[in-house]
Amino acid sequence: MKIDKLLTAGALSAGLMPLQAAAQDAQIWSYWGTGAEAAALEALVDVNNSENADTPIGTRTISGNSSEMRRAMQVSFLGGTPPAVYQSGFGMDLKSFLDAERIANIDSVIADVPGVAEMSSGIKRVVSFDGDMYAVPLNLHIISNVFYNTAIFDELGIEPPKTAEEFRAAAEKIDAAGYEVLGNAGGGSWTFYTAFPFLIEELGQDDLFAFTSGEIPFTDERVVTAFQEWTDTYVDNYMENWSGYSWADTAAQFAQGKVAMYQMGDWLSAYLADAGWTAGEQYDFFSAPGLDGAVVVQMDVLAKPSGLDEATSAVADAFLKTASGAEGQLAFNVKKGSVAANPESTDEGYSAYGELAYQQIQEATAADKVIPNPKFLFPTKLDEEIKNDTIAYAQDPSEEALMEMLEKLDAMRVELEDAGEFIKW
Amino acid sequence: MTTNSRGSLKREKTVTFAIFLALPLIFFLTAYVYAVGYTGWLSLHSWDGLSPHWDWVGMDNYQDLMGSSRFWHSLVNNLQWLVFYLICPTVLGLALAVLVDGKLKGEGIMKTLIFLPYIITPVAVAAVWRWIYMPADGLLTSALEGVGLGGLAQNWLGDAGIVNGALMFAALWSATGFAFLVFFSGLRSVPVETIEAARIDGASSWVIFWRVVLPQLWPSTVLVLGLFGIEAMRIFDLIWSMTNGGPARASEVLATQLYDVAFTTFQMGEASAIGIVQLLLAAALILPYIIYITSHVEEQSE
Amino acid sequence: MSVATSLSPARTLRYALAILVCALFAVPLLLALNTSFKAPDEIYRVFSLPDNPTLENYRIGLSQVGRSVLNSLMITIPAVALSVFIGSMAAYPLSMMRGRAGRVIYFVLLTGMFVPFQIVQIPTFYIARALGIYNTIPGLWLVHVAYGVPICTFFMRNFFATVPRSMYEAAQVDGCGTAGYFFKILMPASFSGIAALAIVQSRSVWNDLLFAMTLSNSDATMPVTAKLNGFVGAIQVQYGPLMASAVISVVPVLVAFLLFQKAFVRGLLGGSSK
Repeated sequence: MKIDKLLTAGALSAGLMPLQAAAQDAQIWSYWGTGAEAAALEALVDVNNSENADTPIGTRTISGNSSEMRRAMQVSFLGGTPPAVYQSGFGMDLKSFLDAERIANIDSVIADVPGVAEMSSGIKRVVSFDGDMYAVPLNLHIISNVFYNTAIFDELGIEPPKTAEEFRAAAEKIDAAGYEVLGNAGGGSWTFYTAFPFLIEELGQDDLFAFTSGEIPFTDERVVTAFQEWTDTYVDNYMENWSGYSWADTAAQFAQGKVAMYQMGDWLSAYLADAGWTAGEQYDFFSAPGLDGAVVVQMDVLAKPSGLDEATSAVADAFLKTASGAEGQLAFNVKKGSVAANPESTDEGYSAYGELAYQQIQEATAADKVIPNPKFLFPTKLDEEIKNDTIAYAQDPSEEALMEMLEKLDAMRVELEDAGEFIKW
Repeated sequence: MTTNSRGSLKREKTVTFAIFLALPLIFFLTAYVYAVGYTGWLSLHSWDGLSPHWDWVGMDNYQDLMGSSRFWHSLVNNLQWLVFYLICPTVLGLALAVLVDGKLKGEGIMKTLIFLPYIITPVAVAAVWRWIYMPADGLLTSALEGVGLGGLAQNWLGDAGIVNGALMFAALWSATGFAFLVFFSGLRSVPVETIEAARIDGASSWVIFWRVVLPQLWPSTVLVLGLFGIEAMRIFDLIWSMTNGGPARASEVLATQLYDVAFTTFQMGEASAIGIVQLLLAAALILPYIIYITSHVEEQSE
Repeated sequence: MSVATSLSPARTLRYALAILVCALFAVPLLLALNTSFKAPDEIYRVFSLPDNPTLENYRIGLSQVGRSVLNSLMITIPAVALSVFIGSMAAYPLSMMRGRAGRVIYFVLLTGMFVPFQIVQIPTFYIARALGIYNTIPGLWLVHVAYGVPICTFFMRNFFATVPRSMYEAAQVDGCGTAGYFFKILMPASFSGIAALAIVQSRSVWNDLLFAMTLSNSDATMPVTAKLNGFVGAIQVQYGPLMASAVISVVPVLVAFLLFQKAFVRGLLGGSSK
């Protein structure tokens, strides 16, 4: 085989032989390439290939992240060989594919799948355009839970705080005892993530969507208050030198018992499981102050490119049905350490933390308080700006710096609003 | 030899040379000329990398850049890198070459140790140095605490005022080996007799170094400065894998900004405009160097 | 290296300084090596030696980057051989031609040296796509050869300039053609220059991240740099396997350097002394 390849290569470099794009079987492309993520995808594909034995699907890993995926998709469109299904982000990511007329409307494919109609409206909203769904919400990770070290809380006699005020009181005790209060990390949007609970408390769910649609200024009184509360409650209590840490470095600090609290996504539970920690024992969690039952979730979605040939399209439709159904979602999420987006999916086989998160999401779904990560609803350019500005601000917070940041962001909001870059979620 | 065969010899030579040059020139035209032209053309458009159409925007991308503080910040960072590269690893490399070039025992091992970092993948260099710079358990902070200087420990990669220095220190570790080895080879080409003669004339080691050795090292210096200058304008890997240009874009250079604009916010046109500016800047800085080399070389072969 | 000189105080000081510098240069390498043998729970104690040295990190590292190291070898070796050859092809006439044409061509080729590769990233991607070599190993050969033309020409042109012209004239008298001289005499005589350039090129091809990220996206073609970068950027960084993978990625270039070290130093001399 190696010889073959070398010969082909030799011929190629001599320019004698154009390379034929190999005809490929229908595939799902994802960047779930290693560990628990790869296992999760494999479990889902297994369910699909036994349910739809005559239209099986293959997998291909795109190493990297969403921007590599976008590049791979770009190439596939140019070559006229897009996959049957691909892993996408929700919100803006989907919208850009829709604007380029690259994804198919799958509303009629999955609308009838049991449970899809019962998905939380917030979730459906960010995969739908003009009332039709363009992607399958697959898995939910909660990013509004605050994890805490039970030993530290017990030692200091602290109860999980319910309000910002209680949080600040707890923070004071933790700080006095010589622990770092709240973990955070540089890079990424972690800093902005921690501001969501305050924005939700001030704005409420509907106006939060209006905010991400560019309809509420960054200088709106409620937005300003939210950022002020966030500064007093969280930013002032971030661990020392947080901007020099990566997500995993901070998780390690938490697992070493140096940091008391942590709110950068519940994938922490998988990290802690590796370190031998169990939810309810060494660590526990509470919903961030002010959320009142709402949860903010990060999710992956699956979309189908437009213009597929009939055979590939049939494979895609069958797979998307499986992936949106209760059984397929359970198989995937048990392995991934997340919670199924389909509320009819059970919690059979979830970890100790998974069961609790499942319960939380069930309740939030019933109350229609599942909020997708607002980060992905802003125009990408603004989102990038928010990401960097919040990091810069949180390193050296002051009332003045806050207003300066919000005014700068608002100027960009106005500019993008004029250019019609916002989506009215 | 008849005049006739002399003429055909000459023709044979010309034809052979043309054939030899053809393939490299084809590569060059495709990879450089066509590609740079393509980027220049794209820089006059707006494109998200996905849609089938490019939208003509003329010079808008360039105008946006000129008015963006982010761009100027990257540009200044690039210039800082240039100054850094031309001075720090060059001088350190020279100093180490002089230090080791004394027929010291274990010279081979020293040479390998100093050169080794240069051949290590920047991505791997970045991984190791991230680990060194980690705030709490990192090597540097732990070492400072170990010797009672914990107060000097910094948020190495997380502080906008320090991050560039920290990155440059890692780059120094990685780049010095190259300068070292070039100077080391250069020193070997300094004739021993010249040095001996100067010594007999009573010149001190210091004077010998400045007056005799250093001028002989000029060709090595040209090579090192040229390649480091190019490196400084191209620098990408180390910064991208260590900080992604952060915190909050503090360590961004043109190359990382280009990458971010192209593949995070998908503004291919604006990214191309950054690239063209980067090219012009590099041209302005490096063209004199190339002119020097080509003319210098011409003198030599006359 | 006589005993008498090695005992002088100045020499002792020099030794001490040299050893100190080398030790400092070695620290990051030792850190990587040390960490690569540690179990996860010891990782964050930087100074301690591994309690129970484990090869587990290398097992994980190999399973994750093993294939990509092979890819890197399959990319680097032919790409370097080809680019040195193509560079020599261009350098030979340019070192022989007198007059304007030669100088202009040389100048034009050298201008390629200041083109930052990031700016050709997007078109390179489309050219590769159009030629059907996107995400293939030969595609990466061609790209590295093409972008190596300026530096290889520069290097070999300088090296050839150190070869006495009389050799060419003698060969002509012996009836060796212009091409014959290149293949039979000049190239074999330039071994040290070729070795030096091969090391420089191996380093840049082996270490390339940009073209790797642009032009490969499957496990069958992705070289070790892109794979490592995927690790570093991954949401969960495991330092043990990462350090082991980094060590693995260094070994082939190190071996190449040690093998060709002598020729390398000699070749740099030839290349830089003109």
